[in-house]
Amino acid sequence: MAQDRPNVDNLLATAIEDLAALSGGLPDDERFRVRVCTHLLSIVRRELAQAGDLNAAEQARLQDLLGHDGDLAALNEELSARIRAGELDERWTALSDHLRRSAIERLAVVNPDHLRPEDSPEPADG
Amino acid sequence: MTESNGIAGEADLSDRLQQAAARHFGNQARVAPVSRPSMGGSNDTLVFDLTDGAASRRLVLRQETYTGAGNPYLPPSAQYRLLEVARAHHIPVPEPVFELTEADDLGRGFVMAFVDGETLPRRIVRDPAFEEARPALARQCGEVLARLHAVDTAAVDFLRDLPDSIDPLATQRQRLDAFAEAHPALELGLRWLERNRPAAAAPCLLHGDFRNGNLIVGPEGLRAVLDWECSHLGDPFEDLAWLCLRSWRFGRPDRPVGGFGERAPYYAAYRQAGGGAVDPGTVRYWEIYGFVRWAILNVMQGYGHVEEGRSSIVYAACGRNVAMMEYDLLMTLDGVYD
Repeated sequence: MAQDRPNVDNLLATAIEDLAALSGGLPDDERFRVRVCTHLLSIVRRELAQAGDLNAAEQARLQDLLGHDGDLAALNEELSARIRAGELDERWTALSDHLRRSAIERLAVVNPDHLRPEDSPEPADG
Repeated sequence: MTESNGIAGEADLSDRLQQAAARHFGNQARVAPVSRPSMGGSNDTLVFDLTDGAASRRLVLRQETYTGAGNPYLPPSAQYRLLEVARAHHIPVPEPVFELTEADDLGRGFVMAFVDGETLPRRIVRDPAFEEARPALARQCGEVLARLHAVDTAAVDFLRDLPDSIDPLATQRQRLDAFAEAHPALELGLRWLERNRPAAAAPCLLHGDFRNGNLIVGPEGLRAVLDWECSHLGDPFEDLAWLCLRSWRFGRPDRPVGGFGERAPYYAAYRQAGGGAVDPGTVRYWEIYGFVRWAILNVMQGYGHVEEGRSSIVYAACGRNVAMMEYDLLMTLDGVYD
């Protein structure tokens, strides 16, 4: 189904911008709530734009680490269990590298401001 | 942002509080609600004025909100006992005034004295009004922890059988498992903690959530330590390290003690107040533990929001905030962050 302009990203950006402008005039408690809502919508906007690429990258790294295919959730379950069992102690550096990448990728969606500048994604256009 | 405590609306709450005040202070006592400052993690908070003839006193009602099966927080009766113990040991806390009884019909909770001052971490970290308070605060935190850790644990026997008092690592794993979501970075943290355990220390009384955000501060420094619901017995370094987590530096990562102070004077004050020498390696171990624990508490809030009907925009955000703690954990393990 082809929707008319604006696209989803633009709709979210527009709503976020207006909520942010609105929040300035509110009492403390309501301003806080509107800011949290703006934060949640910003996560949605970044996730819609990036999730496909980030999930594919994470899955490829997991397949490398674990040596077989699988869906993302199952691979993460397996990785967790094998770390707990001590089976990846000898591959600590490769494991840390992967998990650092995964944390950076999730933060690029959830809260890019929390990343060190050297871990930050390219500034998004618009 | 507080959840409904499922007991009463505001007007009803006011009525019941009035009746409770009459029960505890006599029929001439009058209650006037002032504000509801809490963002509601484990307890609801209501500030009110109690008037008895010409005398007036500002008090705080604390009511338990989270009563789910996975509830990691101490019941209000234990929190009340801890306020009494802390006060007896000259640790600055709000004076406990009375515990709610069944007749009060206000759920589980207690009333304590209101302590005036600032609790908002960003203001404590940034506001020029606290310029002099900040270095004093780091030293006072060291002193208060030394006094707390010296309390004879016989006085807090009710903490002895808590999972956190028995085996903190195993407890974190059990909690993580209960929330049924894969977190390989937290597994890495737990595995590292398992392989790098420091020598066991004699268990001390710990506050359990001693951080910027649970301190009432005035321009002169520390006025009171709040929120004792995570208290347990354990390694004193667990408390010392928790205050230094990057998560509580609020825009001042260069000031490791709560965003307001430096490590050296904090450790020195702890030692001078009788708390023993501080080994930075052991503090680091418990900071790693702290990130894992803080992450799992946020996993819990996300789980509560989605699965347990404790729906709230804040808990929804908490679920996603776990990535921040995992990043800080990995950066600290790699030695990139102090």
